[in-house]
Amino acid sequence: MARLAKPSGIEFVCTERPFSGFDFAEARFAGSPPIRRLFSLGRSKGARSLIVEAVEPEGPVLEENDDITSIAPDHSAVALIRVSFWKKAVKNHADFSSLTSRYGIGYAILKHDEIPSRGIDSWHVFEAVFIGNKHHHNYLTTSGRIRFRCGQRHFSVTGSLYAQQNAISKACAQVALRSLCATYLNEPDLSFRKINDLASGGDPSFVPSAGLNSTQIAAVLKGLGIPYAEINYEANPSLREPFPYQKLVYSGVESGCGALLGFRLSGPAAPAVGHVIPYVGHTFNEDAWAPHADVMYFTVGKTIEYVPSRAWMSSFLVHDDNFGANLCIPQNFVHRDNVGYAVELLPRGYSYSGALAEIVASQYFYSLLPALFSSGGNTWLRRLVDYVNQQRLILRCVPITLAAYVKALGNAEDWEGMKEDPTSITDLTNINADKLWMIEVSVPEVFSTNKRKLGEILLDAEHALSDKIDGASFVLARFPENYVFFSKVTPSGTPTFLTTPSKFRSHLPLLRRK
Amino acid sequence: MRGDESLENHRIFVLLGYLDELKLPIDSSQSDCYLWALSPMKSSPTKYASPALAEKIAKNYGTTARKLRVNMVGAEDVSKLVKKVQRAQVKTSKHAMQLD
Repeated sequence: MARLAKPSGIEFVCTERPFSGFDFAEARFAGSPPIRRLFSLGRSKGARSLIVEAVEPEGPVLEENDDITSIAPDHSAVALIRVSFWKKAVKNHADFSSLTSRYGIGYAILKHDEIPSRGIDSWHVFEAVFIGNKHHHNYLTTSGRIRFRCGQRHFSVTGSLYAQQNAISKACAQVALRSLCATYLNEPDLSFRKINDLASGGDPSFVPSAGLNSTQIAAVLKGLGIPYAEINYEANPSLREPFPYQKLVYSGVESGCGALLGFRLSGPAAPAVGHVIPYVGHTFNEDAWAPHADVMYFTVGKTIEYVPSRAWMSSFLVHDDNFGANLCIPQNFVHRDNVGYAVELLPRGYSYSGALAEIVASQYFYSLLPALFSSGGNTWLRRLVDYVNQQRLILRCVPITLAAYVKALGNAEDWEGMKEDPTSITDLTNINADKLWMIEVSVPEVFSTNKRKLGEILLDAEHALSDKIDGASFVLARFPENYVFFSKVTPSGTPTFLTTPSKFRSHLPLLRRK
Repeated sequence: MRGDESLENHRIFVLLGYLDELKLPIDSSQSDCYLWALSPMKSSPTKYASPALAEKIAKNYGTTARKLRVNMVGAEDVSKLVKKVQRAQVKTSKHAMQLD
């Protein structure tokens, strides 16, 4: 694999002024937008030097060369360069010897292919991994720690793998899949050959440069053993309004698994085929205006069931193989009518979308809250009801295991410092479920500013979701001073629950990603 | 962008006015709280946590588990949407979209 290949030479380049990333990218790599983007990422993250190494093709790059040659026999693999960006000035081997991963910004494998018969003589980004933006509003959720070599040493960088198409053996769909799946599987060397093999299913007429259709994308995910939830909006246009693509995509990035979005291009010269990009994170702005203003100004008199946590999100973080890595898309920029296909990657062992879990949990919430409200005088339950009356209920859906949930509960303190009874925490480990969707329940100021919640509803995520209140998916709910267990459905059809005390009287921290 | 596009407004389910009704006096000594007309449902065994577990936790606090009987509000609408999404996932392969 090129990221770990032994270099045949090493060059130290100072990137401090007057060094120009534009000049360098144009002179060395013909300056395509995704390659320029690498230099922009380096500059924006404080790169003081870059290290350029020529490497020999290995592993997936070697496979790709073979695959291209089988398509176009006059193919030449002209060059393969590994470029790494560093926050420390590295002018010589002495400087290099003191380099550590904490100075690393990212690396890229740049590949030069030539096919005279097709007029191809171009560089592209075979792969690149860069650290996320340090801005506290940015959450690069779909990321992993990836090792790479520089000189005779190994380093690592935490980021989301980006790849660019070459219009010969891979198109946007293959590179989007590699971005997400390599991170999901923790297999940075997941090859395009494997993706193409899974997509083609052995069909000899398969043309990789034509990209993949949505069925083939699903076949790749299935072949890699990655669970997913998908919606083809072109086949189901009536879902665009009640179940917009943002729900599915946000659920994927919030769970840390990622999502793919396929959309039609617009404009007088738009081609018939669509484009697909991987979604790898989101922003979160605690000062967002829209969640407050929507009810007051733009949906006056309308009924709103709940405000999803993504209302505080301005943009999705994405890669686009045409433009580069770690870009932001305002969450509504891609119009719903343009979107044809959306896929949410699910955590291992999960059988349905977190977006559906959120909807079903809201139903449990509205059923349980009146009954709980009648049970006592907890201040936060009263406030919760007040906010619900103002249509300001907030729900956030995240995956969690029962063990992690119980551990978090055991460590948690409410705002007044109250901890849960340890015996009850131990008792909760007897719940017969493992993988859960946890739908956290909160209200505006508590959620966005304090990043805390008033409760949660847990649904079993391993088995098919029941759309009825029959206890088939409901595991547990917790609200101030209350746990709620499902009991039974009476012969007359009434769902019944059992509620027990909890020592938590106020709000607890939201689940935070490590 | 308009605010209603930045938020996901699930207007299809519930009339929130029902919570206002709750502000009427309720006899909280009732162990069972009946709310609105009931919609028939099939019974299903409790799979994840036994009533004994609830009782055990209640006992930790020197009390017994309290029974809540609830009615689902807007259950049919939720059920319809969930079914529609689940059906869409099944038939996706019949209308493949080409992406390059």
